[in-house]
Amino acid sequence: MRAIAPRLPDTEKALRLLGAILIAAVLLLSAQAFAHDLSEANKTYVQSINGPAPVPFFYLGAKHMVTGIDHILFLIGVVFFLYRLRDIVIYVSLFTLGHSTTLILGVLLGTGLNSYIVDAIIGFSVVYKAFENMGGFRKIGLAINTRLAVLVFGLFHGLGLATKLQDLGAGKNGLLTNLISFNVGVEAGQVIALAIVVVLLNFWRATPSFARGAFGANLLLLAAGAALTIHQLAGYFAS
Amino acid sequence: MTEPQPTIQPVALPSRRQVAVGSAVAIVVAAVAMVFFILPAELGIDPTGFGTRTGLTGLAQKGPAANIYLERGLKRTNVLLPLGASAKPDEATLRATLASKGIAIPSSAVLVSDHWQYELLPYDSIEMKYKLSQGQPMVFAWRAAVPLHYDMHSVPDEGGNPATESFAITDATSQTAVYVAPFTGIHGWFWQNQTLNPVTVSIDATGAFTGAVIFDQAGEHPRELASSSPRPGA
Repeated sequence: MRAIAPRLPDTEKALRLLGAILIAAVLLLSAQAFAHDLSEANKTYVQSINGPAPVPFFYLGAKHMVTGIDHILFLIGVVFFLYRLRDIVIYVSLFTLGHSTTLILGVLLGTGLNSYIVDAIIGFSVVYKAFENMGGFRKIGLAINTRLAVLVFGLFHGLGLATKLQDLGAGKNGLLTNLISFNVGVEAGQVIALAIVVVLLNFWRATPSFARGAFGANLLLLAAGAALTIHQLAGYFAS
Repeated sequence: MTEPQPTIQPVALPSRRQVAVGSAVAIVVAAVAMVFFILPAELGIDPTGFGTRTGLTGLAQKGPAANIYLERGLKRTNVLLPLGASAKPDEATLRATLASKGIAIPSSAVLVSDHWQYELLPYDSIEMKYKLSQGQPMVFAWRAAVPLHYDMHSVPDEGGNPATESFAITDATSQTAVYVAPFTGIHGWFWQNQTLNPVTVSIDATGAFTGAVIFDQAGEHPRELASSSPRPGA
């Protein structure tokens, strides 16, 4: 791993194919995002749970994270230019600290912000991160602490998670156990999603096309984040 | 504090060995997640028994037909005998319906009549249940101006909430039927207004109930029967 391995044309082709598959996968995931709210069947079951049920809540947390396009797009934005494990751990820990705080406090205090507004802010966090990755803030002469921004948006992502968990109508009995299990599940789902994102990004990073495509990729991220924001705002004004 | 700048650093492709080890780890993690979590929770396929022990398989239930309470309740026969909406919920109807099914009214039965109504605010819900001993019958008719979502179900004194049985879960403007308690406990309805306007649900019933309870957001409250003139049964 000292120098860039000499690439044969075959490798380059294989990586292009991989890239195409990745884009297709993201599109498929975004189609699923509309079915993202935990299903009615799950809801019926969760409401019938009376007492601690750590494993089902762990699973629901992980599933919510892995199938949640908004959280994943934000994570892609966060790790886009991070290739050292140390940086990845620092940024992801800040994000985790942020969303765990508001997830647990939000559910325990029963605070419910309007879910459309929270989801719109989560969509905006993707726009923000993509704009930052494109060097937008430096161009307009703004120096915003990137770590602080990740922490603050983490707080909003946690509010979104808290709203989803409260929508499920989980009973008071065993709430703390179930809440913590859900949170641990969210982190497990995040590790799974991150592992896939980081590995694929690193494959791409090793090719010259990364330098050419990085701006465009962040432009796509920005567009996706804007679409999510508008979608949620439309939902808010229609409700 | 060194903030990583969005500059592009050249990195190397992983070695063959790294790719092999990484892929192997990924396949093992995926297989474990599949067998222990995804199959039980999504499809109810549970080769290890882990899903049943932890309650994960419950997530695989799809739709209202998979409601375990309704499944249990629908296995019963001669518990809920639906009548036409015009049937009067009085003693004559009760006796005639039971006689036609060959069901005897227990000699201990003391039939009383009851009337109750409640205004459901938008998306409000309420539960009202009668106390009936095993084998005791009632006839009832409830109605509302617009369809209400309801769950007619019973909770036995022995076994409590986990032993609940549902007999009908649907949306309707009315329900008229004879009901014979399959066990001693409380028997009644959960109603939910799924509209943006207030809806009043009103019920008339005659039967061998000994009381009624209401469950609202504040919890459980006993309710006086509205017309409690006991008449000796049979």
